[in-house]
Amino acid sequence: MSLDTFVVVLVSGLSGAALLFLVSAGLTLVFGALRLINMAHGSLYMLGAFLAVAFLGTLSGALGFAGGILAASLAVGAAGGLIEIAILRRLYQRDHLMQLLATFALILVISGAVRVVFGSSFRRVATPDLLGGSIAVGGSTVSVYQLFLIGVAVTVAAGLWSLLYRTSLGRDVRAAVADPELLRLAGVNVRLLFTTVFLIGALLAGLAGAVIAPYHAVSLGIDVDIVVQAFAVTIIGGLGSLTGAVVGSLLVGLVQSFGIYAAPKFSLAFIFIVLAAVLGLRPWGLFGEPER
Amino acid sequence: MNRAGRRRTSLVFLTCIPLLLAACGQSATTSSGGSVTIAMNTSLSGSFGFFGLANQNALRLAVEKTNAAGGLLGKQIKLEIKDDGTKPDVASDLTRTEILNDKIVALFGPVSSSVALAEQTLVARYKIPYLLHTSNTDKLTLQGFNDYTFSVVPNTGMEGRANAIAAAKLPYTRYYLIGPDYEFGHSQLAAFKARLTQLKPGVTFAEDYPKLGANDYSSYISKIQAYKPEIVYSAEFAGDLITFLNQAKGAGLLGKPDSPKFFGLFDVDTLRNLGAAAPTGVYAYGRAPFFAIKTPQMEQFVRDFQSRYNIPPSDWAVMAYDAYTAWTEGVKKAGSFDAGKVTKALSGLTFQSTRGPLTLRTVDHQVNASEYEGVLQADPAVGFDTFADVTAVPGADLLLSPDQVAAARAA
Repeated sequence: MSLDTFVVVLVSGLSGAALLFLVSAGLTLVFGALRLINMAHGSLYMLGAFLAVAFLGTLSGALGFAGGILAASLAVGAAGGLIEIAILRRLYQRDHLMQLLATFALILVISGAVRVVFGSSFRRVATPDLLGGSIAVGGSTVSVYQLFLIGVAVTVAAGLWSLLYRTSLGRDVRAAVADPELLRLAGVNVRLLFTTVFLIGALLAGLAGAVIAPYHAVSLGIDVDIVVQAFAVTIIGGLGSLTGAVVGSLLVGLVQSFGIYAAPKFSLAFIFIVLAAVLGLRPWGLFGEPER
Repeated sequence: MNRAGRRRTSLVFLTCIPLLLAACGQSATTSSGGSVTIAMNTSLSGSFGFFGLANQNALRLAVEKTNAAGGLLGKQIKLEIKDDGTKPDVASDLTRTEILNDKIVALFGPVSSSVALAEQTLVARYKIPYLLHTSNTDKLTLQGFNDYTFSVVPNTGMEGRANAIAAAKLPYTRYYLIGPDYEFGHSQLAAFKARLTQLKPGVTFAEDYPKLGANDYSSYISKIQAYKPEIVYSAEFAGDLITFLNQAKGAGLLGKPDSPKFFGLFDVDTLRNLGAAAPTGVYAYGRAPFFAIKTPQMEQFVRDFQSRYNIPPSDWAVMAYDAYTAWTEGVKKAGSFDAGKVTKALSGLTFQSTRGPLTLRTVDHQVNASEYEGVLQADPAVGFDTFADVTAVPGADLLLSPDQVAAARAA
């Protein structure tokens, strides 16, 4: 592999990791704070993608692009908040099976709703001119949109980190991860906190869907596809750990990209090879903690 | 829930059972009255949903026309369409129910070849004429063949061979092949490679099979760039093709003066979705693009479809419509809905399709349909890119000889 090719494959790996991180960050945040396995996280991602197609189709220019992405993410965040209030908050005291069933039902409901509203055909939306091309890095040609995806993920990672470690909301979230009962006794409104956390998780899923819309065709079925990968990433990184989501995404993204280059026949298997290897060594994930 | 509540619920269920039974009885008797039932299980959800939607729109339109004109052999046609979820086991259950409860007299094929292979064994067991229009692995007419199966779509082998004939006329010898990693992609690319090697012995190939529904092709794109082919031949389709083209353009693999040429599968739905983003100037192939086919039947169908659904019919709508036409011609020739008589009438039948006269030849019930080749060109009249310089590779040049059919079945 020449250096030029190496750079291109590296950038594709990093952009794949960026997308995986955006999706799995929300998933792991919600699991950490709410102890909720949200199967419908991919559906929120799909919703974000379809909304972005609708919004970006009517807006133009760089500002329109940013506005459309933001509007789609916020709309999905709001939908997430409503879902938490209407459905999920009734399930925290139930066992995990009940939560799985409820969020599985949400997958079906959201997918049905998307089909009714947007139809069953795939959709696409144009990439803005500013991000559509490629630039030369040394002797290799790198896609600008991939760099944009990486930029978004780094920004979100930094934002999440400051939120968790620099704000009182973040302190409460971290406390909720450790012991929600104690937090309630300390006078924190845990109900509101949980709604907020779920809303942020949904917003991240919506953002991931929105930024991916100009990059690949949007169709029904991308929900389940992404949620399987995101679960693999969070299990590799350790459920509930933000650092784990970063490392897990990078690992899977890079192994996927270099793996396809070296041995394309196994392209479907790479993510599961990594998963199996990590589970063999650390069943609780790289940055997770064993259940007490 | 308390005990009284539970009792109430079970009471509700109990009262429902007779209603359900009554409903079943009803649909069983209507078939023997003034109507007959036909069915199609196809992909109406998931990433193949838009194919199934096109199938459904075409069949509904066709059935409405028949019924408005007084029916077929004096009977009204009832159409049952169900979502198979692209799952063979679901499709098998649906098919069995339709055969046993709804007493269907014909079954129309699905989108997915694996679903078709599952349904195919059932139609043989229960003796139901089975008409394929979208799924097209050649296993359906070779290894899996039975007397009840008929195909109006050019199969994977025919499509690959047609494109090889078109490619042999181009001056390129260094190819990169890319196709989705499932039955269709592998067998279509294999047929393309075999025929092109035969026609142009000097050609060299590299190939890759990304997973179906992949959302990141960038690693494959950088491999292609490193290989420096003269032309990329693709069996990617629909959403996957759009994703690939978009990312290829972003990586500089397409659209630059020194980029390799591109030759790919462009169906009408994909072209309509691409709109102005279509890669004008690339080589394209398709199974039934309405704009490339000039027959009175096609003209009429496009007009009807457009006025009913406000979009032009895709290849998948055209072929589903042709499948229905074939079946009605078979019924008329047989003078009956009896499965044995209809399949006998269909075998060897020549019918007027939207794609011109087609024959379901006796040896494998495969129609001698053409594959359409051209170059993408903006078309203001329809509002998206269509094919320029169209050639229809004649079906007769694409079918296997009866000996080859026998050999493939024996293998």
